[in-house]
Amino acid sequence: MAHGTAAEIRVSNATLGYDSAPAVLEGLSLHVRPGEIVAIVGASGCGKSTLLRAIAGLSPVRAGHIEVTCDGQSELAKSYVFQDSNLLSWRTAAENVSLPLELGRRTGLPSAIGERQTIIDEALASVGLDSTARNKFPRELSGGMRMRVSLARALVIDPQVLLLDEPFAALDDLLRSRMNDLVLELHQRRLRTMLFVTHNIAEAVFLSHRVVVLGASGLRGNIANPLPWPRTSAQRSMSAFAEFYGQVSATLAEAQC
Amino acid sequence: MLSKSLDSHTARFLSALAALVLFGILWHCFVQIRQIPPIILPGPLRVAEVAWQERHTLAGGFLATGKAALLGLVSSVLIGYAIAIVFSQSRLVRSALYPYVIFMQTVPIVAIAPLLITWFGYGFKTVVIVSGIISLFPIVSNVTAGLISVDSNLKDLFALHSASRWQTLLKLRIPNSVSHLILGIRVSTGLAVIGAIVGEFFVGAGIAGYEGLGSVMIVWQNRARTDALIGGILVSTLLGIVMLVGINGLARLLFHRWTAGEQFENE
Repeated sequence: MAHGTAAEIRVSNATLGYDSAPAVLEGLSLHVRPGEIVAIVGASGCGKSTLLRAIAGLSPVRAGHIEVTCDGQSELAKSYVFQDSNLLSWRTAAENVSLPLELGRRTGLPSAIGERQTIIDEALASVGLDSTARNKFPRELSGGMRMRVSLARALVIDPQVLLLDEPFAALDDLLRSRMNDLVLELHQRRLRTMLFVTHNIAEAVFLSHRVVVLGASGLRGNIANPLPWPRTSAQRSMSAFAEFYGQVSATLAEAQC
Repeated sequence: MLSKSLDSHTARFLSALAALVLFGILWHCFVQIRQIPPIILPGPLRVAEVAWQERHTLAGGFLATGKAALLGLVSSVLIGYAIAIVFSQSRLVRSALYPYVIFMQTVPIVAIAPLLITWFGYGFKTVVIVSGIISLFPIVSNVTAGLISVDSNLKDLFALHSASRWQTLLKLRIPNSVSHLILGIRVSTGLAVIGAIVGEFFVGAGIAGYEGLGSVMIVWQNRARTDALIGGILVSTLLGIVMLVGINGLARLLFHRWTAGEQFENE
């Protein structure tokens, strides 16, 4: 995979919402630095996914603006990982990963089939999937493997910003923990800006540089994560982890939607 | 796993065969006990005997009607798919034209068949057209549903990667519609056979040398040959079954990526 630089995200006084319905978020400002992992938590209906979708360009910004830039460029490769693995059931794992390479008018990507296959294989390998999985259909894969394919599909274009919308919510605790380790590993291998929505406070604490808490009136907390890097599973049992967990929980409890 | 599946297939076949034999026995007893005249209802043995005597006519009718139904079905799939693609591209076009497709479904084919004969003559072409008209609606409605009912997250995925309208149609909407198309074809297969036979009722026999099952059945009905007529009905039913089994097999072969899924396993 090619190595680009990480993007920065600036949300300035943004009002977000759908059509004529009341705004979901009003006057929100947020800055995500290049290479930062930011967790977004908040009760259902607070606008977490709306914010993520607006950053991805999938939902409108009614007022204010959102800028996603990298070295002054705004034409960036963005990837979005959905809660459901969201794979095309008629395509094999490798064909699903190949999809972003086939869409739009991408420049700078190899057009030769052999080179593409190498990129796809690299993306699959980067999420821990070997050649036995590449030709299987989604229905033949476990939930965890499907989510890995979904991550590989997001990574195949080497995005400068990766947006994850409750990506591991449907997985059991053990798988979720493995996927968390994978996210950290991917970030360590290739520094890219990540923004992820989660309902799981432990996940938010473990994975992030910062936790953003959304509530009824928009931003209710923007808390720097004191846990040291690199993160290891052992940190989950440290008192600093429990303290930060408590701090996020308390902020979340006050931030009713 | 395989032997279990074979056992279950054998059991299903044997139970269906047992039901058929039981029906034959009941039919035979009913005719014998009530002493029903053969012109009203001949017994199953009599029907079998006459069907054997008329085997060449029935086999010729089977092939002729089968060919007409198959061509009608293929036409309805091609035309129906094209209409569905046009419908999927614009809500305005859909709301303007969909009522007229429903009209194709609701208009009694017997009402327009004479008109079709006026336009296309007493022959094979008219039979194919009647078959095609009758089997068109399930294709249009199913494929349109498959083309427009795409998961919103998948649409977002394509939008995120700046997919063009053409790419979304080719790589998302059309593949998404395949399982709907298969369901539509299954319904349309039976209708195509019905359409061909109804068409043949109107076209009649002997003219232009065409002798489909419907045409010969009309002749037998006029000659009060109830035994041969019932033989014709049974062969028509067989034609429907053969076409359905053939289409299912073809769908499994051509659309393996879609039919190998769990939703098709328990049929």
